[in-house]
Amino acid sequence: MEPWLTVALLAVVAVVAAVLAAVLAAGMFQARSLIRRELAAYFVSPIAYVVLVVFLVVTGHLFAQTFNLLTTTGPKGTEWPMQTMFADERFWLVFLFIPPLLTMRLFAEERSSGTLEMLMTAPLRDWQVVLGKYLACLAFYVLLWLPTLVYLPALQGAKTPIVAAAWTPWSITMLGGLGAIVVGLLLLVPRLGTSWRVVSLALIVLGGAAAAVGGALHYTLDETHLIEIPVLLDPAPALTTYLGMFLAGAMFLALGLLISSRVRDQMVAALIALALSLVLIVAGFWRPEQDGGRLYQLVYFFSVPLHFDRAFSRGVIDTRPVILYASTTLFCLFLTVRSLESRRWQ
Amino acid sequence: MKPADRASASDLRKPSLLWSRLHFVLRFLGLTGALACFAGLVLVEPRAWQDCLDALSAPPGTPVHVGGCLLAGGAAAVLLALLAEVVAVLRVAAGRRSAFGFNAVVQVALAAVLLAGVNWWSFGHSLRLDTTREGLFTLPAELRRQLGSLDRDSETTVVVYQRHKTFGALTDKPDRFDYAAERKVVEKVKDLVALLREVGPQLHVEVLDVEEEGYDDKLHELTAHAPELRKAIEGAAENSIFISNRGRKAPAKDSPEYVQQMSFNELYQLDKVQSQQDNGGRGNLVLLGQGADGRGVGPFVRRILNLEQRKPRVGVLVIHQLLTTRGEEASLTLAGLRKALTLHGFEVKDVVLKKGWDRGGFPEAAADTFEESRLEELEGELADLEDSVKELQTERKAVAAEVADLAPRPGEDQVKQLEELSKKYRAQLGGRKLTENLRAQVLALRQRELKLVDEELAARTKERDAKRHERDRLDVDRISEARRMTDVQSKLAYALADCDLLFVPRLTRMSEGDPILPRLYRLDRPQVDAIRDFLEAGKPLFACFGPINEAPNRRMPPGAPPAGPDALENLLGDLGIRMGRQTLLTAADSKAFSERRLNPLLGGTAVEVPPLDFSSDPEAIGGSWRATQVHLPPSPLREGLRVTARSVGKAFDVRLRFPRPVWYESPGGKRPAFDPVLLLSPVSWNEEQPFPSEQRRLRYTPPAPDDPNNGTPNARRRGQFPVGVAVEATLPASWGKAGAGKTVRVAAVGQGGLFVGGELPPPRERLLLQTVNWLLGRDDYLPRADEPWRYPRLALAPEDSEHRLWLWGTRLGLPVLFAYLGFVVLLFRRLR
Repeated sequence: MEPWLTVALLAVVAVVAAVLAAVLAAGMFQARSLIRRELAAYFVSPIAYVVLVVFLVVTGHLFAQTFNLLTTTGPKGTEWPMQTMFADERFWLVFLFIPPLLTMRLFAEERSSGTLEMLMTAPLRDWQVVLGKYLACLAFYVLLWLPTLVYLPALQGAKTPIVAAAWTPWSITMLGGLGAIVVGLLLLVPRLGTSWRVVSLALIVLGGAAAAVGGALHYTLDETHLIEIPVLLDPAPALTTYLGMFLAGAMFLALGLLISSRVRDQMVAALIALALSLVLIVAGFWRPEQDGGRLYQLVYFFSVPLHFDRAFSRGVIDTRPVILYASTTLFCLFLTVRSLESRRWQ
Repeated sequence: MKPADRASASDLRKPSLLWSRLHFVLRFLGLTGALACFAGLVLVEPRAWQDCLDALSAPPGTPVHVGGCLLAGGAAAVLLALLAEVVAVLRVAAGRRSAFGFNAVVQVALAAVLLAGVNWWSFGHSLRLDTTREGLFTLPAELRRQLGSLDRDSETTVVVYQRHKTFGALTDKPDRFDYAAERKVVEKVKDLVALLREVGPQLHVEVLDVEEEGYDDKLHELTAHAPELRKAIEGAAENSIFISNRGRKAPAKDSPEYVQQMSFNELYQLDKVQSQQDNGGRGNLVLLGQGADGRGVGPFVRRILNLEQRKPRVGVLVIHQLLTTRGEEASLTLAGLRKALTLHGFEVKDVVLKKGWDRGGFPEAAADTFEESRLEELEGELADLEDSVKELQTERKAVAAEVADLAPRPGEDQVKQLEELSKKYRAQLGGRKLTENLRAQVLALRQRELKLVDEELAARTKERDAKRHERDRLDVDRISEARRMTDVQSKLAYALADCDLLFVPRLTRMSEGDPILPRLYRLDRPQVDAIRDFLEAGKPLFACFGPINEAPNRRMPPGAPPAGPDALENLLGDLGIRMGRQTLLTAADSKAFSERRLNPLLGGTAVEVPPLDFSSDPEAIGGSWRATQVHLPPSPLREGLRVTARSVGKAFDVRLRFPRPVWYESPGGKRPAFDPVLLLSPVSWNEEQPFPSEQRRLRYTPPAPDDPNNGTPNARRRGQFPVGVAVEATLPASWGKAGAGKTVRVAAVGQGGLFVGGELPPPRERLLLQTVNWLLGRDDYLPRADEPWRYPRLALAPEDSEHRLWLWGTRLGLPVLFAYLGFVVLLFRRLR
């Protein structure tokens, strides 16, 4: 392909993506009350705390097991701590229940309590309602994982951070970006007008971009760094594991949301979502021989635990699971919007 | 629209009663048809579409016929139901209000197609982004390029053979370190295989596990067109990787089959000693990654790329056919050496340097191949056997005639017959008359004799026929042509021309039994010149020369050549390799000699001498035999052996009884590139006369102050001695212009019996293979220790309070904290 054609195509894709992102961001800004309401609903619901506690008990147990392997005697050990923790069948058996429990109430509760009609009268389009609920659920899912960051210093063999006065343009950009994020978050707390909300969100987005770009360039181009945390183990597997967990969680939540939009009973929604998720999880428990045959390839393609066992938890990003998770998420969200729309013509 | 019109429109959308019932019947029929199809499939068990059609023409009443009918009927019902559904969908879609729904259905269908399409494409076009610090899941670009350049039309098969024996191959009792290492190495090999699979269709990678269900079928399928591969797999003693040029398709006729084999140890080797000491003495698993990248990728890929390379050939120079690699006497044969070398991709060629053993006296110089030597031996044996058979046939004839005479005939005149027989056999009867009774006794005796002669004749004839058959299998014409070549030097040079390495063992003094007279090994000048020419061509030599001390009272046949080093030892001397005149003895030898002197009946009991020392630094041992007094880098070959010894632990045990010291004196005082010492003896002393007698006990006594050997490498002392050297020697200018200044690799060991036996014990096999690989310049085949891999360990002991804090903080602390928050929220919600 001609280079100019490649550049032109990429430019078109970038413009389309930017426009799409802008439309989505504007749409979500309009739906911010819904997002806030949905997110707050998790924190006042006992089920969320039950999920959180059970999740932490299981991950804590798996962490302890991994930690023991990292400090054991004799020829035992673990080369990939994230694999030991998150490729474990016990983890996936518990994980299987989490997305259905988080998504079961999203539409089913509204439908059974009759508040869905009221919601649909809000000045929001169907996709805004769906995405708003989904984002709130995804945010809670992310929060669910945040406490597990506590394990990382031990799993990575982190030592005392080294702080240095490395004032370079990149480090200043990074710090400026971080400062903007903090200010933006603080501005979200008081009840201010729409324009202030726009300002705070802009600070968060722009600050995040500046922090990311400045940080990346500071840690790759500058010789001395503001802060360095010496680690024994390669941090890449931890990063890819969290990325994988985010993408896989996004997929299971989208699946749960779709089911919740189709049924009236929360329990039925949870059970159906669980049954569908089972297909993507249990195949990996079979652990077929890695002989590279078609059967193994097929099982690997659909098995989320195997994706973590062979790829994410060892620092490898395989495009197959990434595309599977992303495409299934988009498909389920699209179906949810259509499902909501169908009320109008049924 | 008026209300009446709306009602009529509503009625139009509502299906009629008849259509509704018909629709139900068709759906029910379709569902039942699907069930019938399923039952039909179970009964027919089709392997192809044709089987379904054939089932209809099967004999009526058979399960296959019933299945075929169910399948056909069911399929028809399903089709009918589907047709009805299509009509129903069209009817619904044709409605005005349903247009929205139909539109949505189309959108959903398109989205589903897009989802499936994207994932189908991604399934076949995947990318793996390796974010690890060291790129552990990425093939080095150069190796990837080289593998990519393999012919895409031909297929190379890589078989990962799991025999569940890796690090235990050198020891009978694998321990937890061996098992842990095996598990980890298998895991790493599988990762490597996954990387290779990404290269392209030119590599067909299969994993073959002996414990897997259907192993035999898989092996058969894999080796259907690769008999050599099958042979290699079946002969493998440990977890190995095989690379074959035969793929799944049948090869072209007469195309050669190439197989390369490597053990998992060539990818990763366990460092058992370090594993035990690592982690502050608390233990860890330490593996030594092989190859330049420390992951074994290099050696693995190199084998694939060099698959069709000619196998290196090792020429074995011995003085008698029994000492060859095809000899049948267990205490003399080098069969184990042949087995080890051929299994690891070498070819072996025997050359016999002496002939005329049957003529008495000392044998003469020769350069016969094994076949020539065997033919000569066979011809001698055949001549003996022919004579023996002829004699037996004559004897049989005589005995048979006697039996015929003595046997009673029907209707004979018994008295007359007895008289005739008495006359005929007067001499044997000693003048006695043959009676009926005596006749019967003699007849029985002769019949028994005839039977014995027949048996003997049959055995001899069979033996003769076997020898004849063996002779006929030899290429007698070619051998006869070779035998016509009388110039020993040319003949030996011709025999060695296709060899890449020379191995010259001289088994003189064995651990037990009578020694072989050392002077039998003396080579003639032409033979040594041929070996010198071989070295001048830059080819390596591996000499294993046993001690040359002879018992003082040993009788020599007439014409015996003089004792002492021969021209080949002197040739090694030109290269700086000094083979000591003495034999090394240990305290165990001294004890054994004493016991034997006190109890002569004990002779022959095995003596357990201490093993060779692979761990000590030769430089630290010191001694006047040191090549130079400056520090030298360690020998790569000794380092490789040290790595293997550390891998196996105490089980890497090579014991040499009666070795002679070997050291290196660099010609012209030139500093060697590395420490020449290869093998170090245990604590021993050097003895000029290592044969005990009634008057002389063998024990160490310090040398006299005026001993002329004092201050020389031959000085009598007690300690460790070098018993093997490996050097890169520069050929001396005195040899001539052909090789002047060239460097050749030479290894010499002071014991000829190091590789003798029908089977080589694993440590000796490793010693042999590593030495041969180094001599052939295959340094990258040697085990290396510069890329250790270990499990990551945190600097926390289980007994530390911080350790406990982490465990309980994460097991209980975090969950309890969030449970507490949950309860607070619950209480807060109940607050009015």
